[in-house]
Amino acid sequence: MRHIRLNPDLLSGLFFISVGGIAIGVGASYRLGTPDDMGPGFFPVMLGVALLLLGIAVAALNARQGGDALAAIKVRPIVVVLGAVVAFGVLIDRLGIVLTIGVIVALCTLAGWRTNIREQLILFLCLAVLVPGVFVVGLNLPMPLWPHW
Amino acid sequence: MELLNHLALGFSVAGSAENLLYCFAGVLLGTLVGVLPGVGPVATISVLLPVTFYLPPIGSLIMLSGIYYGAQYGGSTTAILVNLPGESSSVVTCIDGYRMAQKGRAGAALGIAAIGSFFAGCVSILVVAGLAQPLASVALAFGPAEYFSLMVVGLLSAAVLAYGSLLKALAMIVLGLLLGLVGTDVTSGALRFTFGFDGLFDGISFVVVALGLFGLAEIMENIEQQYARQTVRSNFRELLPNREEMRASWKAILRGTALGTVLGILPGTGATISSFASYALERKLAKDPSRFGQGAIEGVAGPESANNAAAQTHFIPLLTLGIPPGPTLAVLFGAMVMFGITPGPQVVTSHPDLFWGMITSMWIGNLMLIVLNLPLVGLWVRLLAVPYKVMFPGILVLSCVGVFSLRNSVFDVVLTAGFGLLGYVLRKLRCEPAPLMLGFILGPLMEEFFRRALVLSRGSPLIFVREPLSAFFLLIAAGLVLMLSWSWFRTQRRQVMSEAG
Repeated sequence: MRHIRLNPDLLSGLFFISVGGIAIGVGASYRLGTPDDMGPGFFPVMLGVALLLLGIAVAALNARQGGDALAAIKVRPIVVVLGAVVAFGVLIDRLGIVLTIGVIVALCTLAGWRTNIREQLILFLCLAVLVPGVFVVGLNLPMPLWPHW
Repeated sequence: MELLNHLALGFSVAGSAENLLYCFAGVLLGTLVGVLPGVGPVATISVLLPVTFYLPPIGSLIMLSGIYYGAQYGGSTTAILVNLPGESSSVVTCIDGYRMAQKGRAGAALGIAAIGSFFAGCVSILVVAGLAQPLASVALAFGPAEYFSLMVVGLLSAAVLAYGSLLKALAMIVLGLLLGLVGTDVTSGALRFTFGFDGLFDGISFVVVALGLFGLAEIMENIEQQYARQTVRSNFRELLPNREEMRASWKAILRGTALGTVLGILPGTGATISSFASYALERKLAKDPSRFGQGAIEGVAGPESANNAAAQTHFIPLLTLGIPPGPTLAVLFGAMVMFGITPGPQVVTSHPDLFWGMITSMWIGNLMLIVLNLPLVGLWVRLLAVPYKVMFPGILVLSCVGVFSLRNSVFDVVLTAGFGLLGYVLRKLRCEPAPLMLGFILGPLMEEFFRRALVLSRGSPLIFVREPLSAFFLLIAAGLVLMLSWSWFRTQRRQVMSEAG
């Protein structure tokens, strides 16, 4: 596990500044218009400026007060949760819901808890029956059940 | 008399067999969500949205709001029995509620929480019913300038009442407003911030934002902390407080109800803040404040009444002004829009059956909750024994299915993962996601009202201070910001929270 130690106020300030900057930059490429005839760029640029200023204030206040330590950002939860969700997105159309659930359950064993194969198998069976049963068979949501080649 | 007619209409809607069933399903799910830590109402409502496409709008809104206030109830059960606040609004209940349980008075604590909540629910529903119509008729006369300023007040008060730094909360609101603008601009038809992705042409779905920022980020945090539940062992015989405990509590219930009712109307984290405020008030008024923290029943009765009252009156700004006061109701706002009902003053006149049906269903739901909670306490406690490692894969699968079935878009699923990452990182940066959610929902509306106001005034921003009501709202907004700089308020708030946390 890598731990990144930095100051949360400074980082969030920088984050707001950069998003504000992007909003101004991209927003300015749309027609700005005049106050009595606002173009699509007017409000975004206004918000971008506000975000930029707030970001500067957050970062600057931090420089004065010092701020406290940043809680460690861990890799494991990101990999497991985002991996599972992205896997669902990529696999659902190809593998169908049942096998996709299998992949997600397998991915979840990486979350750090002690798991055993029996428990995971039961979990998979429960989800693989209940979820397609309710959503695909019951509610008719358009989702493939099984892989098709 | 008119009020009685309206309530009668409401009861005839909410009392239909079908709607009673939806109400029951809602409060049952809500209690479940409230009992289980790591599963929040925001994520639950978002996951269930695709299901509600198949239900009539009134039924689904009754169910979704049932989840919302049911969660407040359920949260207190685990707070008392196992010292785990299922919801943030029951954090203070842990302090004295759990001590009471340790002393063998768990039943009394649960009982007084249920009685207080039910009483508070009854009072605050009357307040909602009484205030909604006059407020809505005032709001019907609002022009774009008034609406814009009102939204400024709503968002600012959400920022003031949020945890942590005011500046960060403000920045999160602006970030949310910006995210709300993504997609096709209604007025000009221009595509904004889509960066070439087809999936963004219709804007970002509020379900994607809510599930990512709240649902997924919560799971990530729980995995990080290797969240494990203690084994639960509790013994309680009688579920009713004795006479002495009732005498000690009834005033606290009254005060908590009053406090919660008032605070709930203000946008912001109403239920949580009002339970903290009620706890502080009870301790201040107690003859012997040292009892607090040692199992004082007022410390359970007051906050539990307050958070339930606030949860109900939270519907006032949503249903009469069209301003979602918190993240859960922001999701409900999105759901109403999806059903073709724009939340706001016109709901009362154009959909009276829906409006009064929803309000009376809350009373019915409260009654169901008291029946559900007291006898089923044992079941809820046993549910806590299901380990999180078995639960979260299911939550993940349901979240994915929920997002995907919205519009069968793989892009939405991947975008949800992106918002999950954003939510996780923002939590690490001590930025609360709730203000972002509110900004996101209000973004397009605010732009529209801002644009219309300036068209009316031929481009002069002075219209916002020249219209008396709008000026009044902006004055309140300024007052809110000043209030935060009022050091007493800040230290008081910090003190209460550090004791609770």
